[in-house]
Amino acid sequence: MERELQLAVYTAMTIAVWAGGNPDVIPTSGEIWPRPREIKRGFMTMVVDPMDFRFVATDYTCDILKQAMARYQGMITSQSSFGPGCLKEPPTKNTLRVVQVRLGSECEVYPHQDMDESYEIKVNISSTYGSGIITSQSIWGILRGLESFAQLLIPDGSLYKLTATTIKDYPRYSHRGIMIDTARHYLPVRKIEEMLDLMAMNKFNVLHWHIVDDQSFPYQSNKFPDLSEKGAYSKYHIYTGLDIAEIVEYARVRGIRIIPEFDTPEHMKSWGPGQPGLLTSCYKGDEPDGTYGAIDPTNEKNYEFLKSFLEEVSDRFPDDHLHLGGDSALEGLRCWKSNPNITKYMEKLGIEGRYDVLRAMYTQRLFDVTWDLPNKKSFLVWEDVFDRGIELPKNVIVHIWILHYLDFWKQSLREITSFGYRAIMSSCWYLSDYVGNNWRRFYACDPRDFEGTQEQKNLVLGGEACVWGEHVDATNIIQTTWPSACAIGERLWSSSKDTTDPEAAAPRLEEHRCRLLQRGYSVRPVFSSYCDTDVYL
Amino acid sequence: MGGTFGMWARQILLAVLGVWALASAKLVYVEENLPLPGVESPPGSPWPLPKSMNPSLDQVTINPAHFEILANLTGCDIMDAAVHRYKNLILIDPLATSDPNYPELTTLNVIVTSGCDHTPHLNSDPTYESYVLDISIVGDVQPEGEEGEEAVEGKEKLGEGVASIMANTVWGALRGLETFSQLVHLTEPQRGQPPTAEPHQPTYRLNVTRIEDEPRFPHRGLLLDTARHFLPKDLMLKVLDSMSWNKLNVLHWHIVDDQSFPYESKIFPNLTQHGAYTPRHVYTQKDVEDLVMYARYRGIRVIPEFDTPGHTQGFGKAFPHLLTPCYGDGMTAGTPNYPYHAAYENFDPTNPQVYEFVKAFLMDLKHTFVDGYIHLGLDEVFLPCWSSSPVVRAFMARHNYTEVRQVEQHYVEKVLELAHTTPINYVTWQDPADRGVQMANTSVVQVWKDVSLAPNKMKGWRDYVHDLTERGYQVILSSCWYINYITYGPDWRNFYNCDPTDFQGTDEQKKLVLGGEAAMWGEYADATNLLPRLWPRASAAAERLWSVPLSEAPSVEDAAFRLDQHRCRMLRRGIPAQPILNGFCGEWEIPQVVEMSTPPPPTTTTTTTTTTPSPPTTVSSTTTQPPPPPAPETTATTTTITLQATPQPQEQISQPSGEQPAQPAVNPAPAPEAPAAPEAAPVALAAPEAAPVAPAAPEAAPVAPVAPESAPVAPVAPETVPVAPVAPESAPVAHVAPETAPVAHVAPETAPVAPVAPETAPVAHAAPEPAPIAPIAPEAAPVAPAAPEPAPVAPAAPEPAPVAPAAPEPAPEIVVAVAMPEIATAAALPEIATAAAVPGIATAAAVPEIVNAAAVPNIPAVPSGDVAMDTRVQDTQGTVVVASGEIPTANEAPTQAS
Repeated sequence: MERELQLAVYTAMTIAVWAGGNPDVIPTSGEIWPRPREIKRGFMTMVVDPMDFRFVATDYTCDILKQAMARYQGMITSQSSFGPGCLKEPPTKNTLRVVQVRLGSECEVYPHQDMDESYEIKVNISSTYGSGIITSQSIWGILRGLESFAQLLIPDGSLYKLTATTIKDYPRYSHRGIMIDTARHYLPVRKIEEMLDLMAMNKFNVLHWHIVDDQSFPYQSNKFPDLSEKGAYSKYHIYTGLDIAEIVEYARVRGIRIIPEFDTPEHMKSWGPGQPGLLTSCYKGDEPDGTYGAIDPTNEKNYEFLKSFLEEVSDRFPDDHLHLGGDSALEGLRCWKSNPNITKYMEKLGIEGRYDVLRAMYTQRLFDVTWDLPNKKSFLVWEDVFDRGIELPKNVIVHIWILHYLDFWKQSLREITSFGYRAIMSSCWYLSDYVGNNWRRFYACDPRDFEGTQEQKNLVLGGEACVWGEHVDATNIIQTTWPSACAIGERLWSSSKDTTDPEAAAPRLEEHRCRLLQRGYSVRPVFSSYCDTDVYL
Repeated sequence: MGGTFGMWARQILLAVLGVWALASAKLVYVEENLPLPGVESPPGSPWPLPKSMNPSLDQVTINPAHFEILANLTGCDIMDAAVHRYKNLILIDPLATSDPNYPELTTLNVIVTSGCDHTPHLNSDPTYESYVLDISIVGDVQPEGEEGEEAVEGKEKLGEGVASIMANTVWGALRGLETFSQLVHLTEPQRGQPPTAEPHQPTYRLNVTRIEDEPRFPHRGLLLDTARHFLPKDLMLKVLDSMSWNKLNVLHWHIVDDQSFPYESKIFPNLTQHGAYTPRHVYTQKDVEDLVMYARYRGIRVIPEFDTPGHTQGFGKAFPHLLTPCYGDGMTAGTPNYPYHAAYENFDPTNPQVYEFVKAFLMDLKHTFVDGYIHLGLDEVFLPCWSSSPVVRAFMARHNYTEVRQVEQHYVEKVLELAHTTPINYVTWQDPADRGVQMANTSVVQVWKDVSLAPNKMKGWRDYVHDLTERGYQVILSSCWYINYITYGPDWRNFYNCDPTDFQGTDEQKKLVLGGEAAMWGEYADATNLLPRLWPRASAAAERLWSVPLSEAPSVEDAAFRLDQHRCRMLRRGIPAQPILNGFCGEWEIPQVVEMSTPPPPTTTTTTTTTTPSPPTTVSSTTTQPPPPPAPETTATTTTITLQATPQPQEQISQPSGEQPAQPAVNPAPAPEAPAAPEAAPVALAAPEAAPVAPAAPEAAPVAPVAPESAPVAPVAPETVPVAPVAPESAPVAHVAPETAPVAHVAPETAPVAPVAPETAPVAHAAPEPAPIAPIAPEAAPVAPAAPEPAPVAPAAPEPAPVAPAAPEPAPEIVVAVAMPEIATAAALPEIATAAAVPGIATAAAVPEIVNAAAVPNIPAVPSGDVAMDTRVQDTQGTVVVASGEIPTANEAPTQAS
């Protein structure tokens, strides 16, 4: 009865077709973001009644799949209550009632660098009923397919419409990431999960978690509890082991890897209070001035500490990659230069004044420490480490970030890949540098757009959108990141040939933004226009 | 050779650029590591800075159980509401107490020397909003304390706190209350405190202080643009709240523009039907009335902007004949010539109907917005369309005009004349004044141009302000306060460093500067991002407008700390103001849930190591068992916690929104905000609390499939459900109505007539096509109600219409004549008549009358604050239902589960 009433209201509301205002862009309907590799549209239209619709796993299944089906089912159910559409056909004809989910192999437990994310979707009408099939050899492909399927649905009153469609899809880059910074400002666990939700909806697969920095140390270590007790903003501004387990699990079931970053030897001020002796004392003349700088590379105990600390980190973050930072700070080595012990140490080794060598030695020691970590195979470092000419192991992935205003990153990539290192790129994708309405600039930038051989280009695994935290916290992170990151998501997932023109993408982006808004996320506008649900905000 | 040289030059250039970019890129990210320059502000530092302030180190405390605000004005609705509002803002932490070691302040006396004013208006006298705030200790045992002997028994040792606010007007008292509320602060625990320490018990403190304060400028505004993106009413209310916390006193409402027409006019409902994005992207008359009332309570004027002749595509959707047909191909009317002009542009200056329309519309605005000032826009007229038109050329020949500019001038002069006859005071953008159009001496010219916007076309804003004040115009400045423009990092500094009187000019010229406005244009801002983008960046402008000139102001480095504090204050009051410095606002930032959901560190240690999914095998074993989540304990704890925590954010939300002391009905209202806007401020606090449930629920129970993606919705929704039954009678009607358009909108005004209206409605829809005159005709129709017969006649109107173009002059006159009574129906008219009769009425005198008059038809009972409160409540219920478009979801969930 209630539902009938609701339908009646919607029908009444749509008697007059509204064609108001002059929005900048008219959204598409039922288009997918990021754009799939191959998509073929049929002529037949089907109806989905969320009250009479389900996913059925016909082959392999597992917890990830079951949760994902429940999640998308819920999304479909809750979304349908919005929208000013109307019921044009009785829900018996051409109704799509079941979508088969065909997973072709056992589920993997954790998403990883080389996971298979390809999938196929076939939605069509056979005899009188619609039939839908989502196929993939891998659970990760199924997750991407479910998202695409959900985007095919066009809200229409309390129902959905969709067109017969065939999709074959796979990603262009394997590393499609977003970096968040919880040191400058703390982000509540729920906010991080909201980011993960949106990442899954844009087919991102890596959350790079810049978890600590000079400003604060919110990571709570069990082995070294003093670090967060003395280095976090407050006893509440922390991530406990449970929090991290929750986030890792939340990401896992969405096919997203979590790569934590523990940045050394600089950017470590917040480590100092909780781990005496770790940092180098700065000196004024002959006396320590009470401030501290980079890690003290002369103290053997520090390497033991790092080993022990990173072992715990490895346990908590199951992904086989770890980000070791390594970028330099402006005043970075001032303390090394002022500290007489370090000067003496360097004299003893015969490297007086060669701070670059000292730094290289530290880096070498750090790799020695991390070599033994139980479940880590690969390490990411900021490009500064490479720029210093330090010999890196081949399992290192270089993270390009410098000079996002000029195209110098292309030169860096060419050089790095020519040495055979793998790389990812962030230079054009500093979202926190938000200046104006610049999604088109983000969209135009392609990590493989540099001069080099095909082998070199294949070494570029992808890229990351960086959301640094100096001016970003829970109040504005969603709006700062999205939908700029949507543009990056499409660049990293879709074929470069199909996505050259931002103006052609605009109507799809508009639909996608409204879709995300409707799903409950504060994704900011990039056109002067409206979404059906923005009046409810 | 040349080529080589060129290559070298290029490389050198690139290298230089590279070094520069390298340096700046590094600087941006690393400067934060260095200690920040500037002097940190003590807690309880007010923003904007008062004119004079003598804080002492002595402190008093407040006991939430005893604290009272006593006002000498009784029965003054503004004062009563303010007392209630500020008590809640002062006692912001439900857990905080007094500190027995300090003298207690039990009463804040608010003394207003004049009576209870009704509506704020433009007043250049600084005493209009001035106040003196005094906080002292009496009965002190210090040797000099002579009054010590008379102190209350038992308190001799400490003495007693005494506080008062003295103001000439209620508006001054409001500003004083705001300052007082900012002086009160809560103690924070020391950073890096050992974990064994007992939970910190915050206490209220404030320093003994004497503040004498007055605004530097009388016009301290904020421009909101609801045409590019619709801003929901609740969001606008939040903006008004936060404006009052920044002592801003003008909301400049750029309500319509090319993109959409969300303003529902009384006399031209067609405008909204065709010009709004959808029937729900509309401000009804009731919405506007509520907003104006809400603003009034905060001492904020609302000035609507009715921008013509450009920026009028929004009007053109309903009334295409008002726009000039362009001749893009040189011969055909209504053809575009991109990028110079569209098919139709600008109001048509040659069409007399345009002026009739303007006249009627100004009257409409005057009665809906009671301020006495209307912003007429008049900016950015693009002339190519006019030049393309043979009709305009003929018009020019008729008037002996040689340039198209003169046509614009013709239009502007006509419109200003209409404003004079309305009569209404006006603000305009600077464009017409720049071109030498003469305007009234009460008018205010808004300067928006600056060389930074168009280096080749514009001068620096100082030159404009200089020129305009030299010609004797009153000026407000916006050029340097375009808050919608974003640059990386702490760009609030640019806003802070701009001063409207910072130009070469005489003292007389500088006196003509009435203030300024922070402009938040809406191209890329809507309810998702408006508040964090607005605050605290607009606060920088607010301080410049209220406090001392830039030359005497604290450095930006010093101000940064105080602004950061102000940002945190706004955050705590429920506005998601974005951060400007690294760091955090306080432990309260993290909901209390954290404390409860996080077992104390030692326990965590064991739990974590067991639950951490270190070996993949263990995890896969858990995962093969279908739904049970890895850590059932977590689920249990978090769920109970949410139950405890939910009521709290509700209280927080209801505080800022409540004019109404004890209206239980208000409580349910805030709830729907939560599901709809997980980002929004009070919700931002609320959301994390709801959070723990979300991840737990879907994983644990696929039975409740609604929850997972829309997590924030699920937990809060149950709260909203019980609300629904309250409202249905009024709400669905009101909000669904826009579809059935003209009827529903006109109905409130002409309630008894309504039954007839439906007949006329279809006409309204059909009319616009038939051409020029018809669109206005439907307006006439609702007037017909007296006789049901005329209604069926109305459909016939289209026939007369084609005839009309032949004789355009008489037709509009008829129309307006008919439309006029509609405007203010019965009640308002007499008052207007009197007001109009007096030629040079002081706005102040005239406005209240009109207000009352206008208020009567809608609120038959009493035009006092109580009524306003009631309408507010009703309205919040209304919005509940709208926002609860999600309710069906909540209802469906159990159905499906069962």
